[in-house]
Amino acid sequence: MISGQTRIHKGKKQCILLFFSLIILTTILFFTLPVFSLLLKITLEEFVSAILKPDVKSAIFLSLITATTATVIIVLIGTPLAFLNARVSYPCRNFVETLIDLPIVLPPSVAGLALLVLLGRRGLIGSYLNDIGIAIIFTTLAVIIAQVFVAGPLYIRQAKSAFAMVDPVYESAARTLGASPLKTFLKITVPLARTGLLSGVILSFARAIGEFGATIMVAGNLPGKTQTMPLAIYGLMQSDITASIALSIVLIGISCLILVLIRIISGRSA
Amino acid sequence: MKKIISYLSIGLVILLLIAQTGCISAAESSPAELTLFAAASLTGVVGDLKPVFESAHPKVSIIINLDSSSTLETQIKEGAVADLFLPASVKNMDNLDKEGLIDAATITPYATNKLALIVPVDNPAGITSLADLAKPGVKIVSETSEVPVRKYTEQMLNKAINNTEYGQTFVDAFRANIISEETNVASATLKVALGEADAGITYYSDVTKDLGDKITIITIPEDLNVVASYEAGVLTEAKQPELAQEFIDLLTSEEGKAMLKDYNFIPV
Repeated sequence: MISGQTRIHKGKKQCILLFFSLIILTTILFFTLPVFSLLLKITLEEFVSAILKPDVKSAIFLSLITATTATVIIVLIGTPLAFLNARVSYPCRNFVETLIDLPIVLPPSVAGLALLVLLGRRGLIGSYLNDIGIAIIFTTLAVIIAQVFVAGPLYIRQAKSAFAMVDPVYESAARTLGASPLKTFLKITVPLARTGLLSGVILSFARAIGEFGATIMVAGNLPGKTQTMPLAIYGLMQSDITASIALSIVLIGISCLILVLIRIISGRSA
Repeated sequence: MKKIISYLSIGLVILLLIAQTGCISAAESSPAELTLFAAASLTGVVGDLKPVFESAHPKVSIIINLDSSSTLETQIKEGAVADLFLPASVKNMDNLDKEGLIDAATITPYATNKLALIVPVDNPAGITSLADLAKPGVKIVSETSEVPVRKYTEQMLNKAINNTEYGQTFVDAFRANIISEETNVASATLKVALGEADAGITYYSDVTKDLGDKITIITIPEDLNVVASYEAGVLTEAKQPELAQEFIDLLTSEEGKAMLKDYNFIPV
């Protein structure tokens, strides 16, 4: 009687085990199969010859240049705000932080439309810029602005928590030993916060290089000037699907590299 | 704990089973769906014909996928399920026909369309004729080479090369003025309507009613203009071939023709 009951119990357990492993397997396949199917769709020769096409090459080049520029700008303008938010408790700080976070969750098309309405020829700021002869829409500058707008908040968020983790005791020690505030920041705070800062930089670079929706709305689509990799993938899908897949594989490679980098950095800190 | 998990999983299985049978019964009793893959330039017409068709067929709901004809062609080639293909270029229809994806007997030409030069109402670049597009600094929005309207634009430029009034210098200056190659004609038109671009070449039909007060049409000389032919075709793998055929009949009926005219198309 007792043994029979345990046998039933065992059978039930196995069923459950089987059921869960099926769910887990399906989940893994669901997230990996699409990427693998892209890799299987073209041969190495096709990939190489597609990558060497002028429009494809210029898209890769443009993407790397703009995403790097955008990341540098993000670090320059984002670091002071991140440090302020981490160290000083001022009124409406939460409100400011939430507003800055908004582009992270905003659909890219909304971000694009917002930038268009601000910077367009008839936009809030764009109309004045247009009067003095500065055009932003349809330029490489617009690509970079779109990338900074959508990717910046990722860095600011990450940098703020990295700064918050640094014990102010070290900073005051440096100050009492006669270091200037800037020197203290560069020699004490930044090295101590480097892990968080670096992963913030990498994350925002990843977001910038993948930017699509806002870019196509404010920068248009012109090979060599505003056509970044994601835009070229969308554009080439209509005419040259092999080139489109080749570019996707380049982006998959960059994404994998980014994930590995983040693993290494966070592994070192732990 | 184990007990909870086992109950949970049994519950999940039961839920899944219910959901599945629910889906099946829903599919059986639910109204039929007619899926149209239509060129972006047909946005207005198809949008207006949808309620007309649906009120005549109370059990049918129409699903519309609007995009550039070449994108739609790729989607169908890659296995997207559709009943009726309404591209803006005969070429896209021929391509699918060659692959055996279109029932050739159903291909019906129903309208034609012409190229138009469009500028924002306030016309910031002061354009009054096609020749003005060669002026330095004019911002022209065009489309990627696969978009039908760009192909027609290229045909127009080819005619211009051989025309003494325009010639190669006009064409070179025109190309140099292109600031963006949008991926479909609707977004190019929008950039002109917003005033971000000075000019664009689109179909007459792209200047929809709601854009009419933001855009001015400037006529392109007849000897340079290109007439686009619009065809409808039922897919060989259509789930609702009869309904698709009925939609074609609606397009070619007097009511359909009137609606096509509403959107600046020229019914066949």
